[in-house]
Amino acid sequence: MAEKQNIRKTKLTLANTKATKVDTGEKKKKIFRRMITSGSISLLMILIIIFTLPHTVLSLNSLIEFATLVSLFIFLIVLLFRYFLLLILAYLYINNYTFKQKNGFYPFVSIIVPVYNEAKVITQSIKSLLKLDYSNYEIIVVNDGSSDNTYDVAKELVGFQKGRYTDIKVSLINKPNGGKAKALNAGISYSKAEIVLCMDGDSELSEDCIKVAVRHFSDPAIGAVAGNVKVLNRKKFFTDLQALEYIEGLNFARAAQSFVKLVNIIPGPIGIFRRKAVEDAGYYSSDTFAEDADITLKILANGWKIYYEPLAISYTEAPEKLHQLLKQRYRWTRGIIQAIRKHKKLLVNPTVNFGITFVLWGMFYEALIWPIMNIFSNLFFIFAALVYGFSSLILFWWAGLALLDLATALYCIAVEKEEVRLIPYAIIYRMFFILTIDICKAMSTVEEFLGIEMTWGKLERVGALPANT
Amino acid sequence: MELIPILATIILVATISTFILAIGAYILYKIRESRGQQAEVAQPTTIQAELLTPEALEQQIVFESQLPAGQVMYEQPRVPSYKPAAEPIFVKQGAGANQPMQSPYTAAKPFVAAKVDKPRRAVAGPASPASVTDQKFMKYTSEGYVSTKEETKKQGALKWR
Repeated sequence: MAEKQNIRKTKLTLANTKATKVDTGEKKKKIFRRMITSGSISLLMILIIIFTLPHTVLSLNSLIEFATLVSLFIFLIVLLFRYFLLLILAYLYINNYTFKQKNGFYPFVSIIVPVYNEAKVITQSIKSLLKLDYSNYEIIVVNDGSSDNTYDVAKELVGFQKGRYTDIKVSLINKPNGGKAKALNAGISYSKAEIVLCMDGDSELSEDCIKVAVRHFSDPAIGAVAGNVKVLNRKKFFTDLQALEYIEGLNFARAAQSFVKLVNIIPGPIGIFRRKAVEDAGYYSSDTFAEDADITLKILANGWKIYYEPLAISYTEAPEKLHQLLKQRYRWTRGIIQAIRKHKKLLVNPTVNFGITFVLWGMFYEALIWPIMNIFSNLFFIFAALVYGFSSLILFWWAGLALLDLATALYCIAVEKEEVRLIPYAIIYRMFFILTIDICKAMSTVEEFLGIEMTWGKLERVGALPANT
Repeated sequence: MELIPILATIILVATISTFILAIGAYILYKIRESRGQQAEVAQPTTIQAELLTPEALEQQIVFESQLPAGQVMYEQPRVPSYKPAAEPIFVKQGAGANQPMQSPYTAAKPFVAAKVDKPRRAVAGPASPASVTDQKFMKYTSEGYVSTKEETKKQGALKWR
């Protein structure tokens, strides 16, 4: 990569706060207590219905039919309201974004690359970072106690490497394994830059990523900028579906949120932060499994604004197998619920910061209410078809949703100038892909509320980063 | 046969299959995860780490001609000025943890007017009449103009004694 340079080795002492509690029998007792409480309440409600129903004009069958129809109607209204609200806000954001370009702000930026067993992809990842269309930055690789030869590979990259316009300093922090949050904190603390870019070790950034993202920091109210995550390993049925999900589900919502500068999750593969905002938030925390959602909420709670930059693209590897996808979504769901629970005081008190309350309710709806509503609506249609023979109902339901998804996919793909071949996936996207994800989300939610232990999972990388993306 | 019942049957079967598949996959995932689960252990409050950083370059190469239009290098040439101490503590703990750190590269330093010392006057030796007029109390001796301050102090001390 470059000729041998003098490398200085220094010993560091890093804070390792938020140590994980050792499990005791208390957790099991807590789960048992919760199950007893929720079971008793449910039983009480069923008994009340059974005893009071004969005194009303309703029969049990008509009650079930009535309740289901009302629920479906509410679900449909909420669904349509959500879609059109997002569509209008996303459109307003794109208008605003297109006509209010701000350039001419080029501060020094530190790119923090936390790596854990990324030996296959780290060299390619750093090489791509050296090609960035920006002159004023450094790269800090944080090896989070990898058990493979990531350290040896990363060590070879340390030095002043030839960048696009100037020599780029590449440093390496080698620390014992402690999780992504602690690795990022070590990198941010070592960095002296006012703007830090946090990414994943297996991700690759678009060439003008920094240039387009940092210009928003000329507004002193902006605390962070969320980038645009795209699926790298496409051309497979499963990853293509995820590519559409990232465009239609995640980026579309992010664009809408960005109109009010209240993006609710800065994605892990690309987040650009003002150092002051990270310090105000108390750095990344290790007490949730979605450290990116947690730090976003903390930044918003401190009154900072968060913007979305669609041109700051990070290409990342998506899970190729179902169990890997479930593992990822399980972690995301539980992590988001943990982050919401951390800020529950702001959820119920809009007088402190109305913006964060609005964001928290949005997250609460997406993480908890929506999956349950989707599952129950599908169950109802299956029940109606099998028991009453109304099989055409499920077809109309599916056709309505597919039409809505097709229209949204068309809009999102046109805005992002994405691959048109992804549009047909919208036909099966809602009914099958999202249903599978929602079942996983619902199960994870139940586990989270029962307090069942979970561990961080590491997605097996296939090393699919190409030489040029 | 009509199209709607056929399509409805396909969708119904597909939805039921998705349900079964999703729940089955979730159960399998949980079984798979539970095999590799290990009990977590308490962690220390500080951990030792190692920093590998390049020595500062004597002169940094900047390809100025290739810089994009409008993009300004903030520090050219950029030679890192920070030198980590033998045992620095990176992550601050306690009350000062949230104090902002200033970048040596980008932080705007407050403007301090340069302190310029006035040129000293010659204590001994012949002085020009123009310089003599600037100072009121100068004594003219055979050696030229001499300050009267020292003499005044000495006189005062003598008087006090």
